[in-house]
Amino acid sequence: MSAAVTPSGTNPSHTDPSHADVERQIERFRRNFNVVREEVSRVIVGNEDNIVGIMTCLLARGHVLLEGIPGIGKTKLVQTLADVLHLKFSRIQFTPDLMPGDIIGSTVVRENDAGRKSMEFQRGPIFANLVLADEVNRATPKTQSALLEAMQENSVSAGGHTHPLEQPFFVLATMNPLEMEGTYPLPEAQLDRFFFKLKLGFPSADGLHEIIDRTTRQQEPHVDRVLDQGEVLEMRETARAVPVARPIQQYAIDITLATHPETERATQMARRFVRFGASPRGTQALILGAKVNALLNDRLHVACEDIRTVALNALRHRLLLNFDAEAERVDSDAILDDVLERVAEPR
Amino acid sequence: MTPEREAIGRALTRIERRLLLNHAVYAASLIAGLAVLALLTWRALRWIGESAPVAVALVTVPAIVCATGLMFLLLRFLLTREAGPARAAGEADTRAALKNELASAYWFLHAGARSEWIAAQLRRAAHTASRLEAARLIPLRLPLTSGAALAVAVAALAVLWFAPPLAPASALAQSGLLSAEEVAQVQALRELAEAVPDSEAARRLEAALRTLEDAAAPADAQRRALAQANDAVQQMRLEAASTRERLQRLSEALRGQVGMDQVAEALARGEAKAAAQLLAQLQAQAAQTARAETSKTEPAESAGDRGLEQALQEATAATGATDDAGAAELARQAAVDRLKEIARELEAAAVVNEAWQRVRGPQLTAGQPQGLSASRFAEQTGAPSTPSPGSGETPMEGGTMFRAAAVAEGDGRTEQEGGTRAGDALGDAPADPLLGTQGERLEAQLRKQGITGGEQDGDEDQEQNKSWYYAQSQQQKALARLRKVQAAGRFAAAEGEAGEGISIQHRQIVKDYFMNLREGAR
Repeated sequence: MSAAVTPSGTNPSHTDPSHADVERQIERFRRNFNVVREEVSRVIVGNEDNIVGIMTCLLARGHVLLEGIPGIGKTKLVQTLADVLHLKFSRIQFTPDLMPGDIIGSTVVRENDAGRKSMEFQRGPIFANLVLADEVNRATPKTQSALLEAMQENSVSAGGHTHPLEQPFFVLATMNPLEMEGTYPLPEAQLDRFFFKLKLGFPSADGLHEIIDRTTRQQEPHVDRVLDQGEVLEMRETARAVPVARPIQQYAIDITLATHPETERATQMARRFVRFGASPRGTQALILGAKVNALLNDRLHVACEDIRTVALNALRHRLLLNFDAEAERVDSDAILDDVLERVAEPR
Repeated sequence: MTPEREAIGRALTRIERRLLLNHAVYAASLIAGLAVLALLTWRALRWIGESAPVAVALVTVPAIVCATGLMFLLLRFLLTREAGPARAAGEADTRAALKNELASAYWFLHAGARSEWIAAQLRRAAHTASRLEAARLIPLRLPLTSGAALAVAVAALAVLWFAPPLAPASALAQSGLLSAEEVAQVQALRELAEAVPDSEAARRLEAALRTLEDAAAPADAQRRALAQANDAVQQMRLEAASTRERLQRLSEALRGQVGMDQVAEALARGEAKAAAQLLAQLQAQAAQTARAETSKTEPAESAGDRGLEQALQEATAATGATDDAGAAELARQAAVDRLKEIARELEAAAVVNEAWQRVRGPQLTAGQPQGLSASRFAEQTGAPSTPSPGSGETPMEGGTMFRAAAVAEGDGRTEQEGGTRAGDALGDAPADPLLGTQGERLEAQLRKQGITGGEQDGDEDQEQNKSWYYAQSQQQKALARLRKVQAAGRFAAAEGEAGEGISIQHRQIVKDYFMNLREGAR
């Protein structure tokens, strides 16, 4: 806040019961969020932004796609988060021979004590709160689709029955960008199902020191379960309650439209390198991610800054680039940076 | 009205007023800038206008168009400028780094949205709004760029206001009828016309200059006027030379006379003023001597071209005779007056000569100079001026007259066939015309020498380098040749700078060029 604002006296809150309740919700949200972040940071070195990104996805009811080279802690990060959140966790290692039934489960014939046989649905590993889909691009598209359908519908259909998935249902898929042979890259339409795509970078020298110090001792760091299922669901509700003014919403829409080469609002770079721009799901992700970010910053309203903070994670996997971009090695992050620079805030 | 709405509304109203005030200041600065611009344009038009109407027209139309455009933009800016609480909220958010808090709050209020969260947000926003200080948030000051632009415009106006008006010759240059050299010549002639005393030649020069400075005069008339002006200057120079010659003859006549040696020396040096002073001293001395004696002689004839010498002779004679003292005094007085007049003429002649030096530069390149012909010089000096038959140069008193301007065109190839190239010493033979564009420029010849020399060397090298195993590519050959030519040029330049100014390899070319400068030499 600038010098044009005089120092605050007392905060005007806490006089109105409803207002106090809202303030308490925010306070609780921030405290829980920070506790989880700190707890995960006891095991995971660096990657603060990615921890926040994963938590944002969880609280915005989305799913996250993690991309990074092998051995930088993608799986460890998800496992640690599951430990911290006290949620039911399952891990699925995706391989080319993995079948949809291996994920969602299958109907088996069961014989009771009386010798009567009946069909019974055997739940697969997807029936968990936190699902780690490791190397999701190694499975066949059919298997991928089974996972992605469950992600979208929050339910599983098998044997003529629909089985709702327990909330919170949060999928963290990992993808290795190096070994592309024998993989099945996710189609753009399915990538769109992921709320955020996070890129895990290589740790710094100091970070590597810290990793070695933490992982080569007799005892590795231990994390406590600090958040239970109910608290996570409450935080989700809190995040959704944050109001968004129309001008801010317009800003998110302007950013989305600026990625569409066929629209008048498209930037020069988008016109040149983008085949298809971000989907409406992208705009939803912008707003929901911005709401979580606003709460983390102790705000009751969403600001344009929140939109910008989440824009790269929310939109980078939703842009379909053309051949020119491939040829000139222009990635979606560069295009989004350009869009964020050129789209003006509402005045 | 809820307290939150009231607090936010009050704060936004304050900010809105402040914004309007700021806009007013900005608009005032724009108007001031336009006014300065208009003044600047007006002054610039006046500054240029007297000498270049065409330029004025070229400036006037764009200036009017620009001014109209700026006025339109200003009006549009003032009329369409968004004002209101929404804009005030946006400005406050930006300036106080409130991260869209007030803009969101205003929208929630405006849209009538209701929820616990919105109420809480409004309460926070109201608290923030009540702490805003509009005066500190939106200070009344001009943007730095606007202030700087205004200051520059004012400075330019001040400079233009006190700038001297453009010389009419500039208008002549802008008219494009005369070349830059001719325009410079006209400027020098104008200065000359203002400096010389009134005479027939001066009046002719003035008339010619009036035509030259008339922007509406056609090109032919201007060129004719330029020639007339040059003629008039030539006439002035001739008159000045004639005056000097008279002084010389007077000096010779007075030399040997009793008491007149110093006067004669001063006249020989061309110092008429000094001679007049000396004569006045003699006059004073004679007046003292003759004070007691009676005067019987008649006054001398009025001073004229011929009367001056006669008056001095009489005055000289009177210095030895006391009975003729009155007449001698009068003669001396007339002589002193005439010498003063001659001194003024000589001063004017000095001005003419000085101006002529400036005029002559462009003329040498522009056309044929019409110098003092040998015959006229011989006529004025009364000295023999028989030229050398071989060189055409005439030895005469005080030096040698080089007769470059009086060389006659030979009709044949030899002297026996068509006579000598040197013209008649007493004739007014026209000068041999310069080759002009038919000749190859000296600079071009010098450069060509470097290149052709380089090519020959290159050919030799090629012959030497010819082998079964190696052959130069075209690029290598060209590069090697270019470097040789460049090296030759640099060598010649260095050699020229070190010694006499012309390198050894260029001397023959320079000599040939000047020897064959005229058509007759071809």
